[in-house]
Amino acid sequence: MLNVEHISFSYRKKEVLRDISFTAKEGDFIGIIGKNGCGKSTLLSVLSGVRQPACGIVSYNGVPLFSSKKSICEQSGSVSSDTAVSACTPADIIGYVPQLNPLLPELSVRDNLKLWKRKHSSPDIASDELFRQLGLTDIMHTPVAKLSEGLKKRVSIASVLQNSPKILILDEPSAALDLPCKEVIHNQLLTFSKNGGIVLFTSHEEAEFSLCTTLYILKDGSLLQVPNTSDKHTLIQQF
Amino acid sequence: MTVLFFLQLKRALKAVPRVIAGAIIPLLLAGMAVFFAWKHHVSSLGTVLSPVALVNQDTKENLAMVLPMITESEAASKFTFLEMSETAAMDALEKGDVCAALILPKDMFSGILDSTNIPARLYLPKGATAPSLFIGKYAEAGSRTLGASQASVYTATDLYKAYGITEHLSDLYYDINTENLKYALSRESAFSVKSTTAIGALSLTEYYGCTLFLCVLLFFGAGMGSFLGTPAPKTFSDQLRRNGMGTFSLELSLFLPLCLFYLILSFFLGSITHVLFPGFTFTATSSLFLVCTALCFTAFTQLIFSFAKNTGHGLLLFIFLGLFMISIGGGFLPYAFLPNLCTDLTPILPLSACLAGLRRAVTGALSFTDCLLLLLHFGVLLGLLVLLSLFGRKEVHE
Repeated sequence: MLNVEHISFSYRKKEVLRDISFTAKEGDFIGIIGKNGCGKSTLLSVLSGVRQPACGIVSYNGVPLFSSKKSICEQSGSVSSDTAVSACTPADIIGYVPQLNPLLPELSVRDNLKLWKRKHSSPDIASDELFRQLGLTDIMHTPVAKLSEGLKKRVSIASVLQNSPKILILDEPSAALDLPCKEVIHNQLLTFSKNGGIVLFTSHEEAEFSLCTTLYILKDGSLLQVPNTSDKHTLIQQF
Repeated sequence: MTVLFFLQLKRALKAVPRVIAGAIIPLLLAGMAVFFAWKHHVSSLGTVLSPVALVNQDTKENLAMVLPMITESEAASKFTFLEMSETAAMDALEKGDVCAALILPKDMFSGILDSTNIPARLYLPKGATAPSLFIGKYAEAGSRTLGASQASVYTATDLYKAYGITEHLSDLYYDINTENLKYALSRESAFSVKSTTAIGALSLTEYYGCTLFLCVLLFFGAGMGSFLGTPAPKTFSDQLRRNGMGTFSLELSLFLPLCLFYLILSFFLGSITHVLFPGFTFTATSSLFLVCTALCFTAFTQLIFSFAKNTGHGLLLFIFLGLFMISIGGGFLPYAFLPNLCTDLTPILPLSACLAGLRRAVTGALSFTDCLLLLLHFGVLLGLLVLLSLFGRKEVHE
């Protein structure tokens, strides 16, 4: 269970996130939508631990991951209700796929995957299966610079999923991708969710809203839950 | 961290062809600059003969007898004596066409013998240049030599008279004079002509070879620095931080391949230097010097590219500062042609100090102090790099 409690974040004096709280259980597929520049990417970067919140706490199965001070998991002597979780670092629990691919373009797909492989990652067999599902097997030795945007996104997702995170956070995973590529990515995310993972993503793609078990709109720094069955015009009115 | 280091190393290796291709054109330009500097230097060494106007108011026979004594000395070999009228000589002096005008008055030569001593006049222009001052000093030395000769002649004359040998005196004047001049002090004693150049003990090839050594490091380093040293995209450094690799790890993963690159290049160039200039040998000190040079270049490269706003800005800054420091170190024009400030600045600028040390290494005069100086520079650059990493490293927001 992911617990996000009273998260706030400001860029200097401008408050971008205001007292954001929500929970997500295993298998949840959470979509966050909102206007451009409303703070969706900021929210994801705070939830993934890239940015430190001004106040609030993010915890998983009762184990605090981040707080307004620092990652509590890294503090010695932290109290934990889940010993398996408390032994991990936040990056072991949360996989984060930023909007821009964090890849080294001169290196091959294999090298980039190796770069982001963590010590406690999936066994090689599971990883190979993952790479096969994402269609990366044949391009393992191709430099990332030569790949299409869709393939680069798949490599980014694979680099995170190979570490078997509990929570997957994606910032606009299917932006500017073609339909077959979107399909591959959607299938992979659904598989991850069905296997008990929590997916949290931002999107502007209407078709993706139907995948969500929960849909939020980020407006004026606050998170409002909306039915994922809402039509486009209803959603626009809420923006 | 180890994986990141090896992958950065792999990136660096993949970038080598690009770095070589990118360095060719700047190296050609630098080579041309070195070549023209060399040409300029060669032409300045082969000094054009400085003309001196000679106005002879005495007989041509007397002039023909005395002039070779002046012109055939080595010290006067850089001067050419042009015989002309007094008016023409003064005009030429005013126009700067001649560096001095020497007027030999009527009966000057007989006056030397009979002690009437009609003086020769030497005119020098205001704000006299080096050749003018030289001819002035040369004339002074000539006068002193002549004075000593005259004293001998007069002494001999007086002695002949005292012993009553006067009937052959006029015939003996010539012999006395000739003998005396034979034993007279050499005029060169006033002007000891030694071969010295603005580039000291180095040959021109060695001198500009050292400059080229640094230019190769600079331009190859520019390519590699722009590739490795450019700040990582923000998403990349964010992910590294999330994975427990902070700023220090990232900097180190960039520093190590860059350092390895410079080390390989320095020793490769060192080997070429050893083949071309036998004065450069691979001793412990010279090897340490090459290591220190590589370290200095690494820290300098990473500092500049970390400081720069983007790759282009970094490249410009790196090449500009690099060439500036090489120039200050007398890389293109020797110190003799540069303000004195350049000599003072050389030890405190890392690349200038590298160049000065390399020159000493080529002449076999390299000392441990040179290595220590470079290590000190490396320490300062590294300190600045650490400060920049902690407080101000730019991240690329794509």
